[in-house]
Amino acid sequence: MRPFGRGELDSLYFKYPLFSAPKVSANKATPVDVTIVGAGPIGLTAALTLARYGIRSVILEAKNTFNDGSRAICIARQSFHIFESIGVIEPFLKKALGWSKGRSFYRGKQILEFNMPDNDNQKYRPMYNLEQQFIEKFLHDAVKKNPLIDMRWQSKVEEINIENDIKKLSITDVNESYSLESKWILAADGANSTIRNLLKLRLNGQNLEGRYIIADIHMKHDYPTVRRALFDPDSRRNGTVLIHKQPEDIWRIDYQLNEKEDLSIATKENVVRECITGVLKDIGHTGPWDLEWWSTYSANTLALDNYRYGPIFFIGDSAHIVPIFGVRGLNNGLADAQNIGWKLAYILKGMANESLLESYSPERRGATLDVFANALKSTRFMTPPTFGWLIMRDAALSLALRHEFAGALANPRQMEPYNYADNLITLNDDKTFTCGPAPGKVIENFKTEGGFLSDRLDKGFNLIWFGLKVPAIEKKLNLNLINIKPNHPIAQFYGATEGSAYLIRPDMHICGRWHKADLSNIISFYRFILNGEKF
Amino acid sequence: MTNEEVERFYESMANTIDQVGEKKANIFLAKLTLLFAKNLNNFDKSISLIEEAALDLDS
Repeated sequence: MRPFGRGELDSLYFKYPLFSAPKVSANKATPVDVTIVGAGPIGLTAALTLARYGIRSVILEAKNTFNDGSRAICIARQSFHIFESIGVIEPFLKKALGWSKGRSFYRGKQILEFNMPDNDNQKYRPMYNLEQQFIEKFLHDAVKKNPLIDMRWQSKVEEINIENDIKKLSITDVNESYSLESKWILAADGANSTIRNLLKLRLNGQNLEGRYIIADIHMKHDYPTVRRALFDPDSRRNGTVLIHKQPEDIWRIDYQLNEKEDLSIATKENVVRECITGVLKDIGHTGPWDLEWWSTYSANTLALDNYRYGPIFFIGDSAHIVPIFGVRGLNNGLADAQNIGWKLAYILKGMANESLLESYSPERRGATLDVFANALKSTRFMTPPTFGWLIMRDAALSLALRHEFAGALANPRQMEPYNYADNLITLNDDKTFTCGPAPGKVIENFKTEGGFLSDRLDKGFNLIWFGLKVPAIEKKLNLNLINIKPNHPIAQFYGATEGSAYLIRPDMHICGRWHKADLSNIISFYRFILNGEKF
Repeated sequence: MTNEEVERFYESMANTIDQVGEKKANIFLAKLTLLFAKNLNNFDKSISLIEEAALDLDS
């Protein structure tokens, strides 16, 4: 919602471009390998990931501009690696605000300061704040320039037919209606997914306690980019408030409504202004401010039982809706897009067979369930659901004023990338290793004089081989060899000696590691990943 | 106790308070405190913890 007198796209800091529908053309009905439904951050990232491997795609978006409903702001480190991989990192680095620190307050007194893991070996900060409009703009700028991506605005999917292995989408834009045949379809069309509804698939899960007003305001406010959580502040007795800094002097304020507050009243502009004035008083801001936008929010943990339906894959909010507290909505969606992107590309290039796709849903649904478990804990602290949780939460907050251990209970657990251990294409760990990242995890980055370890990764699979002797790898295997001498600090960090090896997927997750590696074993495992061949 | 153990204790407490119900929560908490004091086996420390817990209760 916008203040009185301003249109839905009348932003204080962002000019929404208007995109027209594609002209009438017979080419629009030319069959394609991949159709992506939805041009939010997830759909755009999927298209750019496919294009990275030379795969063409069509993006269909029903609207005529960027998103005005969803308002993700926190981008995690691994998502910056994804943006780097699809060649869009520059504008993000320029505009986004990096951060690593959070502070929690109870009745105005600080009870917790947490730092997310960060050090010189990391190429990117643990978290960045950036308005979703800019996220979409930066991705769309790259999509526009990419000849492999056919972006079609104002193009609505009306019907979807899958018969005898032929998949057809019926599409209507303002100029015409046509039918499009597509080998694969990625549903990136958000929480109210058209594709999901057309297929009559349902999200399952639960609605959690607590309703929030979420608002963006413009103000000159001198405070670093630190996530602030206010428990029981003067402005909101028994409620919780979250505050985030964003670029362009925009601040995100989420405040919890109590049980008695009526949503239809709480969302009125004058009431929102009054509540925000109270929050600003709590944080000592007395200067002028302007209201940009507001909406409501309640925490849900909802997901599809399977993220795949034949040739259709669900990515992002169409597959899962997670509470905001773990900041994993956007970030998990981006990981979905990258995960299915490289797998589909490998199949369409003839470098893998379809068995590879069987890992998509277990891996990414696993990531969602992990978020649910953590989010449930954070949500229980932010908005206690019952008397028992409330009395314990209040006891912890009261103790936290003088005892650090109790403050730690308020830690919102900003999460690490999901670990794919125990999944189809992840090998059990070689227990000879005493340190280093285990299979399933994302690689541990490392800084050397020449740059970061991550800079040396090729877009395909990578084999880090520790040793003075380097094996020869046949070129047709498309396996990039990164040789590291056993006396290099990385070897120590990875628990590696002469002849140790790590096999890395295109999304930086480790598939397997061997302390004393036999190249033929690694190659057969690699073949198993790509082709499902027994090893 | 590690942070994780504190958290598991916290969760167990919340669930048990819900089980005994709001009406009996006080007597449950008082019983638990007596048990803890007896197990701590340190009179001075127990008394100082009573004072400690009584702080910051104003709302």
